[in-house]
Amino acid sequence: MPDRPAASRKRPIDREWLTHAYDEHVGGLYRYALVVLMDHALAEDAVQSVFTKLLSSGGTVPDAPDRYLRRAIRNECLSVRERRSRQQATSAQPVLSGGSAVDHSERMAIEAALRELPVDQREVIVLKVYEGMTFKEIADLTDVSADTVASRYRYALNKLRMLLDSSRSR
Amino acid sequence: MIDEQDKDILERLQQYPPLGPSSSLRERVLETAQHARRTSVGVAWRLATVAAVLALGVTFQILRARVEREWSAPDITNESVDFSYLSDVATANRLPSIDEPVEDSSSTLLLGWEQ
Repeated sequence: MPDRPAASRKRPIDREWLTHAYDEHVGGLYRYALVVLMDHALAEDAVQSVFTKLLSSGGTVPDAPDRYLRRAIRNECLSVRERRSRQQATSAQPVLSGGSAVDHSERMAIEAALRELPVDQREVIVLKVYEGMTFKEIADLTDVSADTVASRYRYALNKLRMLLDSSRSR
Repeated sequence: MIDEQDKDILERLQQYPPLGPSSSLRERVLETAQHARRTSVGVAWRLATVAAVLALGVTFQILRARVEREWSAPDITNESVDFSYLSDVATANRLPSIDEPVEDSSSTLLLGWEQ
């Protein structure tokens, strides 16, 4: 990474930077929050909370905004999940796109299968399949080894296959 | 290593990606963030003001106590002070009057000197 001037490293987080960061990163952050929380309202709240805390902290622009924001949304989602586990509220709103309006049974089956996965496996699926991250990058983000990430991915795919096969045969 | 079964699952997953955020989220996030920033700055200013006032108050109290301790005079109007010893001191240190006879011892001494 090339050295940047000290002035840019020390730049305070302002509305202009926040707007730019939102436009650039919100897609990935929202998809992650949605698949982990499986609820639109909670995912939106998590994204909002991350950006609000970022601006109100009065800190400076992080060196690696993408990594910083991913870690922030992960912490926020884990915190939301912890709070929600006491209430156990589940949303019936779809979280996946695609499929025709008439036949959305395949989408619903995939969505139901994703809901069945443990959250750490679902997290690996969204980061690997939808965000295109490597096992190493996911390991850095989730503070586990790359081998652990790879096994979670393997378990997740096996379970998804099993669930989707059983839904097909029904 | 991706086998055929994995490929099938991955294709199906990629066919149905997660939905994106609503269009209203952007405005909501930016507005709330700006409001939170103003609030936190306001709270910081208020806290700083309160801290400064408290520091000034404490400094003033310390200085006042110090000035009172070092500059205040003793209370001579206090009735409990006993001044009676002053009359004894006056008697003991009284000077002889002009017409008072000189004591013998001193005159003897003087006479001896003259001799």
